[in-house]
Amino acid sequence: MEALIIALGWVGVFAPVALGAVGSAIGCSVAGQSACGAMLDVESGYGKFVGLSAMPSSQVIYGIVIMFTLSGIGVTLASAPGLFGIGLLTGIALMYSAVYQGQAVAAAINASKNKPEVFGLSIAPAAIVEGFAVFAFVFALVMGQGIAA
Amino acid sequence: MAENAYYTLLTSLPHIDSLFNSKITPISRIQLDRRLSMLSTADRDTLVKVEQLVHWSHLGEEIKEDYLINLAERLLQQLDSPDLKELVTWRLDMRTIAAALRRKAQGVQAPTTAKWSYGSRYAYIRRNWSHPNLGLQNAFPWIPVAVDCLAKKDYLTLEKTIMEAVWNKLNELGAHHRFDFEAVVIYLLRWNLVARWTAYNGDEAVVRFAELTRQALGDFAHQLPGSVR
Repeated sequence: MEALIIALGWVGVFAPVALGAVGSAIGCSVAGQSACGAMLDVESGYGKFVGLSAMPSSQVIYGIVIMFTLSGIGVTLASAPGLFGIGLLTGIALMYSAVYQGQAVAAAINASKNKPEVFGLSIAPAAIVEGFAVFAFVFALVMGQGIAA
Repeated sequence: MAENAYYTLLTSLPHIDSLFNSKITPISRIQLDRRLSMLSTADRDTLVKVEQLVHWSHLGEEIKEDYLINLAERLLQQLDSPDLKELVTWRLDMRTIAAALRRKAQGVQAPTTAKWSYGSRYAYIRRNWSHPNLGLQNAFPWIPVAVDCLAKKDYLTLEKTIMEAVWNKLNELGAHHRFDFEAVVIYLLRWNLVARWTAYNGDEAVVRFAELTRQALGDFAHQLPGSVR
């Protein structure tokens, strides 16, 4: 039983990176495919589409920071349940936000390709999704300090 | 390509702004076919079948009604997407209604065969043949306008009314589909509408009509009142 609790603690430590990486991979793939499609239809401005398609990669970076913070607390019988809860739920939040941010970026690329003047505004939905990922990231760090204390 | 080819494909297609203000199609058919080649073989087959059924004029003038009815039944069985089934059925209903209204305007009686057309409302239309609007004016609000146009022989307005109804339906369904197979089908059907509308040319029609009249009259053309010898 103790080994299982410790194992779950490690799952919680690594979940933000693993799930964040899955989400970022899917999100960047979807956005990147949209950027490739848009490049077939426009004559210029390719760079901004490619740059935008990298937006969902931030979630895996947040995951890495959380992993280092949680692993710094140390996986013990007392801390493992807390690490599991915070790490897993943050990982799920990061994964979904990356997937849906990829779709928002795809829509932004499609819209700004047809109407270049809305480029800035079209990014707003993707930026709002990014905000939710930041919430999960910041409060995971805050709650992590609670486990350490 | 994989199912995510929809993202690449749909963002590579130029936006279609409006139907009646379009002067040319936003992308040529050759380029469109080239882009559609990103789809998987199964998707391409389904797309071709939907297009053939909805725009059956591509199949040639000798095409028989029975063949089209069978084609419609087979296709509807193959389609997995409920929205796509609804769209195809709705479009077939539109054709059935338009055919019924034209026949009624010519004084033709209700069809004698039960399975006289395709879609989901042919039996209802047959039962309500005597009703001026076939009893479908609530589901298809354009029917009274179409009946009026047929009575006045205003075929241009009739064509525009029907095309506008199809365009609005495609826009309505398109709002729920951004990057999926349904969105590809909707794009292709919208492109076909624009292609049809932009192909209409009043001047060419007059020249073509004069040519057909000349061919039909042959040597008797000069006997017509007002003809130049």
